Amino acid sequence: MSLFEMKNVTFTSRKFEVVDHVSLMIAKGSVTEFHGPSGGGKSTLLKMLAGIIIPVEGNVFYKSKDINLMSRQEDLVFRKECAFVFQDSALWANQTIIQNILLPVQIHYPKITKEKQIEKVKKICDIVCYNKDMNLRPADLSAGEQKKIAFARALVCEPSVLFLDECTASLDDNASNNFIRILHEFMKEGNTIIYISHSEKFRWEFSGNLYEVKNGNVELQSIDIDDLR
Amino acid sequence: MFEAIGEFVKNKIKNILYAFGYIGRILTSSLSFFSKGKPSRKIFIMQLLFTFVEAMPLVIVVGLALGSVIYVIGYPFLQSLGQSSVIYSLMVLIISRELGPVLVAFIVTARSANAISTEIGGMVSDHEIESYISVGVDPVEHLVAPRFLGVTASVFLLNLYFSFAGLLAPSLIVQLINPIAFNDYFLGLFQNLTIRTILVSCLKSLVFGNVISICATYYGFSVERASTEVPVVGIKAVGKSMLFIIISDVIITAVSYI
Repeated sequence: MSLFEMKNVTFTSRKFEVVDHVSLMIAKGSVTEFHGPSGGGKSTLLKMLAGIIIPVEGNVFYKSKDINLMSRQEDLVFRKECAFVFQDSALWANQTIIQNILLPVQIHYPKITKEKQIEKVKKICDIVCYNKDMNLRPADLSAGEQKKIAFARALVCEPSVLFLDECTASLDDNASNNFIRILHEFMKEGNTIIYISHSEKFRWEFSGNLYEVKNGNVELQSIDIDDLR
Repeated sequence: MFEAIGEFVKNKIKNILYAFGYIGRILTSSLSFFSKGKPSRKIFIMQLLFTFVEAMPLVIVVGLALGSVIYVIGYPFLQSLGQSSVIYSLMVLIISRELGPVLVAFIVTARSANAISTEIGGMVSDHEIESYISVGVDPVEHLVAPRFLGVTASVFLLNLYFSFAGLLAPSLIVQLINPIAFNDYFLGLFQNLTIRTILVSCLKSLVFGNVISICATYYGFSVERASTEVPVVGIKAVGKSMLFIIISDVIITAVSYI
């Protein structure tokens, strides 16, 4: 049984078809990459799979449930299981770093004590190697550091699916290698990764199903690891 | 041409239905806000700070000035007509019931409607709203409900302060132009300050608070992607808030006199 299924999904923006009648399936524990030229509809496709934007036509299913028809309770479970790292980090500018990571914990673990919630936040910050002041605002950090926080925010609730939109862009080699190591561990636990990346190194590390996205259309392509090497 | 008119009408109807749905979502989210809006309570408190506490000095000064002006100009004029006792009902009518709530609403619109719409618009263009959705936070529950309640409570409280300042100021001014006992002044006021006047004033301030917060958040969310849209929605939010304040004021005033 597929974890995600897209059926005939279309998304239009200002009368342009960004995604045009796309159908695809994603299995549990798999790695899926959306590849293609800029402006081809990759991010829109990824956001529709993650239930962040609603398709104009068609349906997206997660564990056979239409994600746009889920009840509030089902939606919360879905959001806890599926985390998203945005291309531009998309941290909440008017909140501190600790508040940025703490909010998902407060939403998904409302019954644990504040101390334990903060403990979770500190633990995930250690994992992503963020060691600066937790009371800074996102604007006080570099783009790479913001990416670390975005990654920490995505991982803090222990998701089983990760959506990554150019997650290693603006990272230095050390941070990028650390991310790759964390993602390998994430994969070992049988979790699912769905990503967009223009980094050859990242694609080499996480090869799987490759979907070519061009002008809103999607085509499943076979991937040759030797080409990437 | 007919196709274009049809498309225009269709979009207008769609927008109106969307707006009603949006208002419904705000009302339902606000009803359950205090029972489950723990992470949003800080936003509510901050909204009270920005809209109520920080605007209070300005509102009090405007109230004091307006009350004084009405008395200074109105009293000699009414006295010349032999109707000096009408000054109390005139003051209550203008400050508490008619001009006061509208003036307070305009001050809040100028200060907060623009701030809220540009803040939310900025969040949309920076993908912060998508980021809220991705972690399971409902933007209406988390961002709109506290602002709706905060702005409504602020307009209500500011209106009370405005009335208080506007009616109190002449008690001092009166000593300069027509010295009478404080007791007589307040007795004259309270005789004209009816329950109906207070209820209409409170109703107006609550409705105006709703109008400001709904317009500000609605236009904030109407930003699609470009940061250049943000100041435009700020202008629209202020303009539409003022328009709907005047329309709702006319309706409430008309109904209250029936």
